[in-house]
Amino acid sequence: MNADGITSLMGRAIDFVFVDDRRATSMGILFGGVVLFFVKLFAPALQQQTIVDFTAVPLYLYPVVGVFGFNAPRFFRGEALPRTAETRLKVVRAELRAKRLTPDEAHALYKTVLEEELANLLAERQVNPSRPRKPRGPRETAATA
Amino acid sequence: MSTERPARRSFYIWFGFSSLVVVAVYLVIRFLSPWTHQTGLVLTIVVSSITAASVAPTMRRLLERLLRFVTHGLTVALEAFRDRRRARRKIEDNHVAREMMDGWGRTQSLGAETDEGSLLSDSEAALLRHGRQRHARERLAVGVMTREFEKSLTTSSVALFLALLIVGGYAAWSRERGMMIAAVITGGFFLLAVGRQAILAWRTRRGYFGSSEHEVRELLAFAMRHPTPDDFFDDNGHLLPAFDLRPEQVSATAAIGQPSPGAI
Repeated sequence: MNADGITSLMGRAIDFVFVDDRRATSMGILFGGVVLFFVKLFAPALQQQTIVDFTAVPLYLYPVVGVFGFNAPRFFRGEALPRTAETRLKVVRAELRAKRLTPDEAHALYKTVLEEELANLLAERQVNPSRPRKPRGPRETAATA
Repeated sequence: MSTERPARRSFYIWFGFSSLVVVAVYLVIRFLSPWTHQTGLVLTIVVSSITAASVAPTMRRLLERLLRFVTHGLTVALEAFRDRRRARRKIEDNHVAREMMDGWGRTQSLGAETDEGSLLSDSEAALLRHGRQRHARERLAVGVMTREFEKSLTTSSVALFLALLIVGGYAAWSRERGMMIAAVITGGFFLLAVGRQAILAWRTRRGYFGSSEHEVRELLAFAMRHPTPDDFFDDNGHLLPAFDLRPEQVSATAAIGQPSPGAI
């Protein structure tokens, strides 16, 4: 395995650890740390009430909860590529798995797919400048009604 | 000359590497030595800063310049104390002083149209040339994403570092087990973020970016949710080429004005 493959794999692994969204995950960890800090700071006041017990939660769970909270919107929204791009990527992956393509050919194909799909996508967005994933159904019906 | 590594990217690599060195040296000293905690800490700082300074080319060059500056200043001051005229001649003769005083001022004020060969030293000319190459690389579709990516990675590094400070500081003070685990997790994430930055910079520089499905998906998703799609077009309304142009394609492309035909 050459340096290309190794760095690709490492980058993918790190992205996996960061749940594919580095900014949200880091902010979640920072949020967990800050909440942890305030829980420790206001420990006397929190011990007065008997509704919730913050000491029962293991401390390392605070960053985890922060990561979940900051990444949850993306899970519900989903992240769908254009259907043509999905199909082409699927075809290239299947051909690569079936060993009908060498890795070098697959890399070049991926680059071609990326270039053409990027051109299509941006041309479409240029013609229709609205944000593609904006939920705008209810507002439109309200305006028409 | 052209193999000289750009300062900013090598900084990421240097930063990640030296933080690893710091951790390793600290662990070795802490667990394998009979010294006390404070001595170990001081030794760690000294050893790791020396290592970092010798590893990083930018730091090494800076240190050398600083040393030369200090020694030269001392010499000049001593000479001036003895003989003013001799000292002035020494300043004029000194190559280092001339390079530093003239070259630095010129590099900062110089436009791109100046004849570098006659005015600048080799390293400064290389720096200028590198800056121009980097500008050209940023006029790529990948470059738009890479810039955003680096920005988000910087944000995440800063956020993680702040979290590490809060959690680690509290852990060092309270010595709670859970707090220490949280601090270690945060530190691990910080190192990973720095490493991701280094990997991305390396892959983009070598032209490897975009050759795997993960990166294709990432760039396409980025282009879909990027708020200003105009960033992907140049001033004339043409779509930016996705990748670096091959040298033989540059002239043809410049004449016709089309994006590159593709990597195959």
